[in-house]
Amino acid sequence: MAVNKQKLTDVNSVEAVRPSRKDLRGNREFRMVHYPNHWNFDDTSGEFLPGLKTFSATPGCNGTPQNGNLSNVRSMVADRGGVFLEIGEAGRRQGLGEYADYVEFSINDANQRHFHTQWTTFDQIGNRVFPRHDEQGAKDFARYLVEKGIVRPLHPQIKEQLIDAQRRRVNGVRNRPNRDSEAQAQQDRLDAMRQGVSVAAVKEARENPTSPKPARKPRAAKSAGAVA
Amino acid sequence: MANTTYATDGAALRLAEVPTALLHLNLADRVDLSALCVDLGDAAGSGSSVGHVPTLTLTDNLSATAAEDTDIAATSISSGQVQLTVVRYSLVRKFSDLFAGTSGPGQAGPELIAADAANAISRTRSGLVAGLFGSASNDVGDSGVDLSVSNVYSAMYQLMNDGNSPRFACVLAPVQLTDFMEDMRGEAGPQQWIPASQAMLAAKGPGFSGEWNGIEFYTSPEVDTANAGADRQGCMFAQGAIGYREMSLNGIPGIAGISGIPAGLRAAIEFDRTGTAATSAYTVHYYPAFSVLEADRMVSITTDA
Repeated sequence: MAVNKQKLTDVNSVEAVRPSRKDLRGNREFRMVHYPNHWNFDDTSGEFLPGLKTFSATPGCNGTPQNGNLSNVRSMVADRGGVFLEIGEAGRRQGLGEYADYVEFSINDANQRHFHTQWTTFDQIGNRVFPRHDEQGAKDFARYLVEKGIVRPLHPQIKEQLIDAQRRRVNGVRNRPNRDSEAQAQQDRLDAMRQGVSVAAVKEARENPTSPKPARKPRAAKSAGAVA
Repeated sequence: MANTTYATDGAALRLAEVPTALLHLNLADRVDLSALCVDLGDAAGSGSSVGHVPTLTLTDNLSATAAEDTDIAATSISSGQVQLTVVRYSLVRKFSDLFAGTSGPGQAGPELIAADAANAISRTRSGLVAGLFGSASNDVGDSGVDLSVSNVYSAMYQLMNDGNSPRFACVLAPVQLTDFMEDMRGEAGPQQWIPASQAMLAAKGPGFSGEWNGIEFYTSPEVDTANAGADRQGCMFAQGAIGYREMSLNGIPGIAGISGIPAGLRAAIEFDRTGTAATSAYTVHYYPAFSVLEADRMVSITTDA
């Protein structure tokens, strides 16, 4: 099973201090999966990006045997309409390209493996270890999955459900006392979802109504077999 | 004449340091989430490490026939199976004779550390349960946005829409629970007057964290991250969502020195002696299998970490 190995000793550190076990616990190996109704709205780009769940690739979970063979979980994810993101050679065959080794691990001082994605790095300050998540890198990966047709584009019905959930959120905040600014922020987000633009653009248009209307972002190319 | 002081005579007449009466145990998760799952029995003597749970979906209605004497076709049933494969999990602690032999009253000796085996098994079980949350095909919450009361309602609605009946359990990462509490502080309308809403705002430890709207809340640090580490992936689920199977070791011949494991746990502690190295070890063996029995009985809650 090809995973990149990143040792904490490789992390730039001002002192050679062993990482704290409290900060970096041993955890379970995983893969990422995407299910058709799991999408996140990106406030800055104004697009819905596929949500990626962590799926334990651990023996004893969901029929995974001691040797870690994942055939059972692959069929389980497929049965539920999900996409199981492979790693290594299988990931390259799936079309993940440069992202094929997205699962990495670090070793803590108890010689346990702490699995994480390639978008997580660790900074060591004194004897504390702080994770740093490359949010933009993870978003680029999510966008790549749609562009390459690995994940099918957002279904209009699911988009409606997501907008509906945001509408409920706006209503929930509006019902609260002294939450005008938060209600407005949630309303801006709702409008951005509906228009397919960034939240900043919606805010700008609201505050300067004479400025040109925000341009809708071009839609991502549809993959073969995409749902209209 | 000089005084007798600790500074001058302490090194010879006093110990360098002594442990206090209190052995302070640092924070550690001792939550066992398996109580929220269906116990599917003991794999010992079953004939296979792989158990399968047959599943059957019976949702068909009767159909009106075209005429009173129309011959109608049979409607097939929808069946499937869920696999549970028991695998080995172990933990070894090894002590030198010098460490074990010098252990005094109230000190952390081998017995005390061995007694933590039950907690280690609980943590393992909880980790395996939390490892299944990514199997939920339904999801609520927004990446990078704190868990809110609305998210909890959305999860509850999702389970209700799929035909589930309460009681529901909701397992969250500690940060998700505190985000939920933070959002509840501003809750308005009828919800704010329910005593359970006020009780949810009280400070809480790990494990069972209260009940609200027919939902039992639990926290566990075993809850995984999602979306490349930016979020946490909790889960709300109904009874019957997750099942587990274990294998007891009581009948295994040749396990020398097997010790009684706390009642109710299908596991074993085995003691080893390495005379040439003057060390003793104990190994905890545990054979679990956890699996989602029905994904529609669960909804993951993915919110900011």
